[in-house]
Amino acid sequence: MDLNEMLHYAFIQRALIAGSFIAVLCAVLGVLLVLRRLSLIGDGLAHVAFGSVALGLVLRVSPLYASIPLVTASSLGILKLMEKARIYGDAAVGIVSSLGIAGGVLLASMAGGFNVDLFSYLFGNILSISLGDVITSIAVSSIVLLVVYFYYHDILSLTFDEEFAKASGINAARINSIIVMLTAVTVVLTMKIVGVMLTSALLILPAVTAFQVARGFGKAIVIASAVSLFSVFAGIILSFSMNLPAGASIVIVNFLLFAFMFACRGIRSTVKKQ
Amino acid sequence: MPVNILSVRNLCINYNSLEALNVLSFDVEKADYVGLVGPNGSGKTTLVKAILGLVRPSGGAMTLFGQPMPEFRDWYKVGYLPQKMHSFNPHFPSTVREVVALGLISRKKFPRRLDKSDETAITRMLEMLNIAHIANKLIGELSGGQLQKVFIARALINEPELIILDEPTTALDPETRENFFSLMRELNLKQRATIILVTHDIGTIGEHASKLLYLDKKIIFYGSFDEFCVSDSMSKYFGRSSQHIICHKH
Repeated sequence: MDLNEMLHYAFIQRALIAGSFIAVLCAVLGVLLVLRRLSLIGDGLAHVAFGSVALGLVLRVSPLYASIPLVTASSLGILKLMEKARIYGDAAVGIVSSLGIAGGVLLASMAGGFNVDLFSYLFGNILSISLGDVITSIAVSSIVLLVVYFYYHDILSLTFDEEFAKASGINAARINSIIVMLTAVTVVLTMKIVGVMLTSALLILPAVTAFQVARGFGKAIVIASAVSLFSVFAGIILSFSMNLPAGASIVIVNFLLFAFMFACRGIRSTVKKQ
Repeated sequence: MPVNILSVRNLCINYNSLEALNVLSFDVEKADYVGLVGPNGSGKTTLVKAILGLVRPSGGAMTLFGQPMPEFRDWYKVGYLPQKMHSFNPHFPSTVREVVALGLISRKKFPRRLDKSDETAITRMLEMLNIAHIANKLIGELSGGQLQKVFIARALINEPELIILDEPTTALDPETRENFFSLMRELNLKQRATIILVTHDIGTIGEHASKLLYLDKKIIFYGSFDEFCVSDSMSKYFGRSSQHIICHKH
């Protein structure tokens, strides 16, 4: 089957549209999170999302409606733990993450074990997303990108040097809360595409790939977005044409791009030295 | 008539139950050049953070440019060079220009966009500090001295009226250090900028500052160098030789 024929399928069109928006969304947030050494917050919140999906399935409400408030509250919980309990971000993420997965396992066990629905959230499937999911992805991505556009310099200053940013009159607590809440919503959306297990890959890999070559913060965001978009497109095409799982294909393409950029950087610095 | 830039009244700061600063009261007037010195753990950095609004006082009050601290919003009037310049991520993908531009955003209203005149100001500042040739280098590619100059540029880009320098010359070679202090002297004398210089180097502070604030959780001495150098009580407190070390370059 050629690409043209493939693009005629409505489910492929939905996957590509939603995937593009979520790809850019993850790339932009990923750059901020990786630079703030909060790379694994995506992973931690995805585990909370797993617990929330289990809760939604037990209570027979849409997993999305259960996940968004719970994951958002958990993201703020991570911030509070870092501020008030005086622990590093990785430990705070670890606490919330394990609590989320433990809650999910307990709920699944009380409901009579894991079922197909819960498993579908573990590994995701972009090829099965609905028109409603596409609209939600576009809406949320647009909001996040607008927030980053309007707060660009606040975010850059805070990410580079929090103390100096505060001394410049930037409201660090507000910006930090906005970033983690946006991450929470993004994780819930991304879960549908690559699943709980691989969500953090979409946040981390495009960002670290961009850092291999980017010369400037703005350029890093643009390159990470391009890498992420390419990975989602290539992953979906690979998945459809070779009958592979979509989420895993997207992550593998992402990793290959990282490996390529990493090698290019190595070659460039060797040539420079010579 | 002297204009108060900073006014501190009965300032107390505690970290948990530990006392960091105990009932400080002093004024800094326009065009003062204050050397803030004291032993390790004496509260110098805590005082700087309180002036910058980064630490909330446990008691007392402060005004900055005549405005009470909690209401102060004109942060562009204050230039700050932090002590821990290596606390940032060395792999951060920002260029020198981008970092210097961050100094300008305290002047901007939401959504804090930079314009052409800002770009010109950045170029001028880079040229003034002789770092225009590294404007597009990544911050992680710089030497310690170059990095320090970038942070100095970020602190001075707004032409601040109050400049707070926390151990500013630790990474600089002697020539750059001398150039840095002549720039500060020029800003202090010609543009009447007020400077608070935190340093451990009591042997050279008299060369630069006109006033001395000696801190050890509370104020041990605050006044002009001339007063300090003839003070019998300070002579008793420090011993004649230490007093001489502080005063000999003044």
